[in-house]
Amino acid sequence: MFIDACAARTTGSVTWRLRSGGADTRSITAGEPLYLRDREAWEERSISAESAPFAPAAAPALAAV
Amino acid sequence: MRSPLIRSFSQLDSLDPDLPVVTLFSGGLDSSYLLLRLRRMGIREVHAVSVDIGEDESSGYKRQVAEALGATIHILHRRAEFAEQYVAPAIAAQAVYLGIHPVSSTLSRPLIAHSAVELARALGAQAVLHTANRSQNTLRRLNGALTLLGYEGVFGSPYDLDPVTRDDKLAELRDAGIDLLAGRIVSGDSNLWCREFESGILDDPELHEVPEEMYTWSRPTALPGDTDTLTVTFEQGLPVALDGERLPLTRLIERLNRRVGAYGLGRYSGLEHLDHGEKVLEIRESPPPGSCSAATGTSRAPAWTPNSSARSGIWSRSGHARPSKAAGSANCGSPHRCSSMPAPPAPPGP
Repeated sequence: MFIDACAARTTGSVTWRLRSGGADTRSITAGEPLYLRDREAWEERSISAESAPFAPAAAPALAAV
Repeated sequence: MRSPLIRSFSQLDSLDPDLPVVTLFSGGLDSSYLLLRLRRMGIREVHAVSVDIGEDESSGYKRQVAEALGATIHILHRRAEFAEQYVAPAIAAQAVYLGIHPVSSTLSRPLIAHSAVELARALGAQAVLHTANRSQNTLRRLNGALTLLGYEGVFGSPYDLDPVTRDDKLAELRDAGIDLLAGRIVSGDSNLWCREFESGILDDPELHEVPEEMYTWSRPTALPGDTDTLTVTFEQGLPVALDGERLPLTRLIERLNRRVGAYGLGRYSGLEHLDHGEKVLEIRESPPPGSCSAATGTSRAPAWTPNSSARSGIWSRSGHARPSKAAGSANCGSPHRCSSMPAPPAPPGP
């Protein structure tokens, strides 16, 4: 059941280049990937998300009268 | 109460300029840039530590960069210790990361952390700093190891919350007269058991290619039709001899790297998992594990020939895992098969 649950969400394609002695990947592609394609951009987003609860509160849009 | 984990450059302002600081140093961009920042802060005594566990980079290069940035370099030779106390238990356990590739940094990080803490304690250093960022599991491995070792000072990586762009690091180092590092196109981690590549031109799983010249051991040199027969002798789950010649484990692994790698065997490609389910592409070459592990699970009289399989390593085990001093997170103890095939795309995260 565990394997079925994991496998149910595993859909995509892998491209290899075959050579004498083995095969090297060239592409791993999923429709709804969990993998990162740009680590630096992800680090910025991840840090922003972690820091958000500690950011200073924004000034109220309408000042109290 | 424990000191807070160092996660940003601004936290380094709390360091005492008069007390020593130990940094892990690979000679790469991140660790060189950290030395530059520490020099600018006026830390008088910075000790850059490189733990030699079989890396193929020259210590001369590291010494040149570290000293140019005002640090004292310490090259700590730990190859034999790494092989005998960290790799050996992994061989006996046939430790494989989620069925994808033989564990490597899982083994090396605890030893590197331990070496750094030993030095820091001897020097009375106030901090042990490293340069892993949050898309590298080394961040968790080093911080976890330093925590478990009970290091008394502060520790962590300022890049966790403060990533600095590659261009900015290069420019600032150039301004400081350091222009030795522009050639690197990926991040690398290498020891005598495994060489690993990630980031840079290998960021994108959907489009990646390791330049052939980056491989050291597994670049095929055997001609079509060539064969080679080798015999690895095991005693109590550990390889002790190659073709009947008894060898220390470091020498045996070195020879297997060349002999097996000559046939283009021992490459691994897969997605490693970060702590919230994200995956990152990592590519490895590690020729020996197929020959060190195929036998232990299948026979009491092991023999393995590189040409017996087109796959780069077949792992199967039926023995009992030995406890690993190093591998708290290693996948010891489960039956695995591992080949050069990558991890399935996007399995669910934890």
